[in-house]
Amino acid sequence: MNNNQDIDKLFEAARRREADQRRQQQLSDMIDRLAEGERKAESGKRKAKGGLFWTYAGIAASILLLASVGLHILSQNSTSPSQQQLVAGTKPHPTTAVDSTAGIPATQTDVVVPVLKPHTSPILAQSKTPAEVQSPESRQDEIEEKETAIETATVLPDEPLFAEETENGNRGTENETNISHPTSPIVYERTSSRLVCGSGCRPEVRPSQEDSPRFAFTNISSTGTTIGIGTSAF
Amino acid sequence: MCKKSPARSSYSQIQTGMDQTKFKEHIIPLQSPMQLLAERMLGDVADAEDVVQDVFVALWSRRDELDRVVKLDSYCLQMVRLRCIDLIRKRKRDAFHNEQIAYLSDKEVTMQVEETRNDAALLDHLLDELPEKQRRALRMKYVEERDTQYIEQALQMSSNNVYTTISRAIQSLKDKIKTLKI
Repeated sequence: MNNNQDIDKLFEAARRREADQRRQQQLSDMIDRLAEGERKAESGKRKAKGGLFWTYAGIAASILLLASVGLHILSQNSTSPSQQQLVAGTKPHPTTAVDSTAGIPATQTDVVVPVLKPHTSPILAQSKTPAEVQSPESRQDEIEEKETAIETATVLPDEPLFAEETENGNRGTENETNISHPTSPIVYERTSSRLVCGSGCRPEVRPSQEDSPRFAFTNISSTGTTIGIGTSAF
Repeated sequence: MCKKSPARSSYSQIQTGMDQTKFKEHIIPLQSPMQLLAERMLGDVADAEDVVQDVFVALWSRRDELDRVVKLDSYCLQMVRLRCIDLIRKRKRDAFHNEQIAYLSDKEVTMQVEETRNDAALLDHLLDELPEKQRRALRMKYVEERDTQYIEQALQMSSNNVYTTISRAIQSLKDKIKTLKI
């Protein structure tokens, strides 16, 4: 190998070294770009995952909100008349929410949740206590009291018990028998809807008014003849 | 040549893979032997650069596995070798003969790379002993392969002076090489 060849070989080696250095720098830059691209891709994936999570969370929250609003509307539309009288601010107690017979208002306990308003008459709810409300027994006693009063009533006829005397001295119609009848107060006994006098008369009882027990009656003799018509007050 | 030993496997479990810095530190310097091997096999510098670049991209994609590789240089050269064979087979599919492929062993490649590095280092040493204008003119002319007009503008010299300077520098190098041989 002569000197020229040696010099060419040296320069060739130098050129190769220069080219390798240049090429290695290019490869290093390429690796940097690859790493940067991977980092961006990873960060994009993370952002996409995060965005997807918040998207799903927003959708779920919207669905829950719509469902709650829908249930609220449905519950308002499907309530009974008593439930429609909801009063905000209280909620019904599970056992003592409303006493409709006694008219006790619902206890106002907790807040926010609507509660049943007592479905009773305002008068009953305000003026009467359960003890004051008339029970069926007391009503029966009152009825029996009234019946006893009727039975023991002394009828003092305001009008003559007998028909006026006719011209021939008879009372009533011509067919009627002129019978004597005690002028003393007649005590009538009540049998069902009739009053029967002590002399056997069976006056018809016709209650004129419910509040003022004044009866119109007809005296009927034992033979079935009407002997007088009048009214009586107990 | 991915040889796995039990000790290496346990070690690789601790390793989290080769990061960017380690990759540049251990893999990028292997470009020279890879490029040399590819040039020798393909006979074309541009194709060799393409092959080496593809191999580097593949190495980067599997950088997590590189910690388990015992001999990184042999592993990288084998990748270059296989890719060169694939490229040759594509080029010469109809007239493919194994004889046409210049197989170089890893040792041969390493020796040639070392020889190149030594020659480049010797040239640097010889150039350092020359005057600055001669050194710069020689480097631009034969290493950087610049044309004479570029050297004239860079050294602020006429074309005749550039030619004279380069001739004197070459003669000095020949003398020095002759001295080294003796």
